[in-house]
Amino acid sequence: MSDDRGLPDLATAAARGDRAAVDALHRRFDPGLRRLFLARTAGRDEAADDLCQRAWTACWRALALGKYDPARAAFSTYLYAIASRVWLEHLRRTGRQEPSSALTEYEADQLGTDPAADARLAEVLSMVRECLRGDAGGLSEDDRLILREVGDGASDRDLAKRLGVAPSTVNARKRQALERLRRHLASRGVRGENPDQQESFGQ
Amino acid sequence: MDDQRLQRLIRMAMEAESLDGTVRANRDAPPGPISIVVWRRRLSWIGGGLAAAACLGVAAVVFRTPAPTGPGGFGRDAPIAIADPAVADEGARGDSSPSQGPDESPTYTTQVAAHHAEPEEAVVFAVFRGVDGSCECVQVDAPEWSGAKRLADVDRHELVRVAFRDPCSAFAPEVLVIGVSGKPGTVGSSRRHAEALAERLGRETFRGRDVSSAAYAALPDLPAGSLVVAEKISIGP
Repeated sequence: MSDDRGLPDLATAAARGDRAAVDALHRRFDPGLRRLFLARTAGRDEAADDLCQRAWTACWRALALGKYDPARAAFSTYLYAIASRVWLEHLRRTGRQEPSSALTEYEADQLGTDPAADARLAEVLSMVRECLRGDAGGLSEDDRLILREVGDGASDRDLAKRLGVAPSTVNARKRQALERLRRHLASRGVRGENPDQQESFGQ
Repeated sequence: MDDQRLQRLIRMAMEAESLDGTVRANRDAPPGPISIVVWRRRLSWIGGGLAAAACLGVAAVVFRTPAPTGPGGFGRDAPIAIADPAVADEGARGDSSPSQGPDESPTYTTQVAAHHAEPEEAVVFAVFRGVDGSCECVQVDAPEWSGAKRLADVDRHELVRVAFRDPCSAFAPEVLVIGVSGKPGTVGSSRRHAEALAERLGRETFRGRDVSSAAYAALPDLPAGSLVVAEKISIGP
């Protein structure tokens, strides 16, 4: 059965325990989540299925416990935060080195194991997303382009070629953009090495 | 928070964004061929407007510069069949090679294997197929396998990883990953080969034959000693 409600409405309803909304979110996000895990596991269907199942189970539990606040993070970001934890737990459990990814590189001790930690990470990621969209942080278009390229793994040399400037110039602009992002996060209470260790979060 | 951690957060935020993008595609994508234009950082060449017959729309063919793949770490978990060229030719026609049903993935079949002592060149084509099986885009990579392995020794996960490293479509529910190797200078990585794969595999249902056979048959003028391996990855629910 299709549910034509928009994502924000569905997320709000799901946070209130609306089962139909939860089902609709599952239908819409499951392919993307599976794609994410397939990429992480280099196409291992069974592992991806298992990880999806774990992520959704954790998500449903968190929704049931009222741990998700749609005002603080989009559902996609919250689900991604859960997926991050599930992936790290998988790495811990299997003890294997998976293909390089942000999830892998994000050290295991960065994340807690409880739903509250997922919510905190989702909130930090929401702030970063706002900055990348230009909705917060006062980052220029160039800053955002550079940060996205950096997030995509571009080297200074790649960026220099694309922007038509010297690598040293790119490096300086990259540092400037990162500093702006850092300052914005700090102004929102994210100062520590670990996003879970935010101060005055949401104030 | 140091720069490295900030960069990881950015990457994670971008990955979270991609989840939203997938949802939009799931809801908004019209049935049938999807026209897309791809622009990626690592592109050395991009060709839009490729009118491959099977795509019936605009397909993007993406060529990438070589990039090292990550460490392997997985064992082969799918059957391997090595055939001599004669058998492979039969397999290419779909009448004798090991085959699986259309929904039995993954398939991993070696079609031709020879000249292992000689240097080889490899190219990986990834055909991203839409909900109706039509081709969304074809991506061409020239990977450098970890440990300087030969294609025949590359496990399926390392092969598939090439396609997913920076996919030309975020929305395709199915990806055909085709590795081709042969003597240096003989392996097709040209637009013509990409077009041929898009055309022949764009609407292939794989009923009665496996992906490798179809890919082998689709690639024109492969010289003797070439190796074709293929994987079909389903991503949809």
